[in-house]
Amino acid sequence: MSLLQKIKDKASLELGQKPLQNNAYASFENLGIPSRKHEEWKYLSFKNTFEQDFDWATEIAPNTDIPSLLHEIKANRLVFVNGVLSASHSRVEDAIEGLIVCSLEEAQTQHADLFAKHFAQYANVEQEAFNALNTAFKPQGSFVYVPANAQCQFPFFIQHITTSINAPSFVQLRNLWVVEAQAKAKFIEVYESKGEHASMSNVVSEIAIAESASIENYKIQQQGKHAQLNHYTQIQQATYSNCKQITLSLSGAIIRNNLHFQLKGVQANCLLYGLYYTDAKRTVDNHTRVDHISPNCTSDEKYKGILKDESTAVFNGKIMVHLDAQKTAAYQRNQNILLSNNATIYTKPQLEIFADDVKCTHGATIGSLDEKSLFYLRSRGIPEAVAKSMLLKAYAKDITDLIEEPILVKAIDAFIEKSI
Amino acid sequence: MLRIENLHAGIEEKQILNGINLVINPGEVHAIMGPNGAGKSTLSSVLAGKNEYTVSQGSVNFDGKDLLEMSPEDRAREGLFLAFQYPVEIPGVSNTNFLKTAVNEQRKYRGLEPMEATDFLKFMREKMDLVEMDKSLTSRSLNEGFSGGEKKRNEIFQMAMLAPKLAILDETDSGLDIDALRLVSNGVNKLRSKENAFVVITHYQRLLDYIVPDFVHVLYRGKIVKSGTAELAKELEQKGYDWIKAEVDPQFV
Repeated sequence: MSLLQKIKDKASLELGQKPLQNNAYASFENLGIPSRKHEEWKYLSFKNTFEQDFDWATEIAPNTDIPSLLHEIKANRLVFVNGVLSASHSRVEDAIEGLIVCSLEEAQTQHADLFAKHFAQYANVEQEAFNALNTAFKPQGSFVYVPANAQCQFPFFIQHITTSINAPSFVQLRNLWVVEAQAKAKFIEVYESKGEHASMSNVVSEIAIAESASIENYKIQQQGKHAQLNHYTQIQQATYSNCKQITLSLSGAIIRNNLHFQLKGVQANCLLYGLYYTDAKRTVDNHTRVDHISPNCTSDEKYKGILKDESTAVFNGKIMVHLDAQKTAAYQRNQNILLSNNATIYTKPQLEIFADDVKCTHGATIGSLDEKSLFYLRSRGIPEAVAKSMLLKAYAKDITDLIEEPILVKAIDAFIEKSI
Repeated sequence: MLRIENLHAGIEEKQILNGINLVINPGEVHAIMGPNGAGKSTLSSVLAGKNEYTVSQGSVNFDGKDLLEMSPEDRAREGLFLAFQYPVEIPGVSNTNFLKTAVNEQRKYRGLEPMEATDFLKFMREKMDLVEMDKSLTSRSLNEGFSGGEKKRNEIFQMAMLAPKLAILDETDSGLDIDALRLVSNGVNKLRSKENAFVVITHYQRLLDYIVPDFVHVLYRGKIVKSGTAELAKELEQKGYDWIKAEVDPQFV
């Protein structure tokens, strides 16, 4: 039976009278899984995946041995296996009054007011089929609430593991992080998988950043070679808030990111950087969108790709400067290194500007590894593979230099070394 | 140490070297001079192993091994060093990290353990003093934003670190003012020994006032057309290259 049919069956059993879920499901039915005819899905569609036989992931496996990536980072840690919190792997280090770190399931019952105030308030379900699908069913994943003025000492480390040990599996994951006024927090999220069968993870993240709050968010996508990942992230920023978001797409069969910023308040600043690596026949598709809604906001975007073999990457960066968003400063760059003649990159900057006093730039480059530099290093006795990885690490440095977590930077460098 | 026999090489369809013969023994300094387009830089590129050049004929033997069969990194690890005419800038790769990798890769090739970090820094400081290298340059990215003179000094510094058997200096004097020229030459002279050899490629005689060669060769139309001692370089300085061109090609007046 197709996954789509299983979704229908589950909907008829579970939806009942809950308006939020019902509306979301109606929207999903209406939109359907977008095909390649859809402008935003031109180079990648999950249609085929949903026609295949995937089970809803039920493998909870509390004893699943958790990959140890980045385990040295001392953090407020939440580990989820197929969306279910693994209590034995999770703990909170920060003792801050009013800080909430728990599963969405717990938040729904224990912190019902906060949950109702923020859940599904940011991610668009009217136009985004996968958001609608995710919202239609019981939410599984992380909830973090950082109260006003809190200065978190440790990062929040959210690890999601999708398993497909016995059969192809489908899982829906969700994160809701609310950072109140003047608070400061760092979020590290990691997506991994276990099992040799195919898997599909449909993830929705909602991040609300209140006035003068400031966050860092590092997203590491490092799933197995049969794993597909669709991740929609909605970040809403209030006046004077700051957000640094870095997406690191390292492995997995297919990764599709939709990263959407809404700069709602004046003088909000966001930085969205990304590094993607593709090899074999893998695909990474980054769609980003920044809505400059209020005046005096800045957005600084830089995505860099390394493409090998017959892989494909897509970059589509949309900057929308709304009518009132005077004095906007928006920068966007996409750079790509193709290590093979058979790798493909589709890159498209898209600026829509309705205000008249703005500063916006964009640019895209596609190239190969610089032969002169490579020869220079080799002529000093450095083997070709080592020389290549030195040059690629140097290329990635623009991105990794901004990661304020040395263990993570080391892990990225080690990943590049291993991949070349 | 190095024996070049009847070397023919070119780039794409263009033949540039037309039968070079040259023997270099340990302890010798050879200068290769010649007018623009004679093939001087092609010779250094072919010896270092740049892959855009193809060798159509001839052989190069380096300490008993076929040099032309080796990858560029193996040539370096066998003791060949090319000081580039235009050293590349590599942002994001620190000078120190680059040198550490190069030194340790060469040690690995020779079956030696990698150098400990503290030993390496001490070794680096010694060599910096030897070639009068500005210490601030090592913490920066490789050649990034270096002046012309700094880049050339960095080449000599790398040479000091890697202690090659044979070093080829490809127009190291180009773009250098007199002070930089003296610093670079001092560095080279300090590194001269009975065991190693140098090939100094230059357009002008000026550099050879500082690095005094044992032999001077004139390269023209891809061939060595005249060889002599340091006196030959002085003669070239006075008379230019035209008389050599005329000797080779009587139609040239």
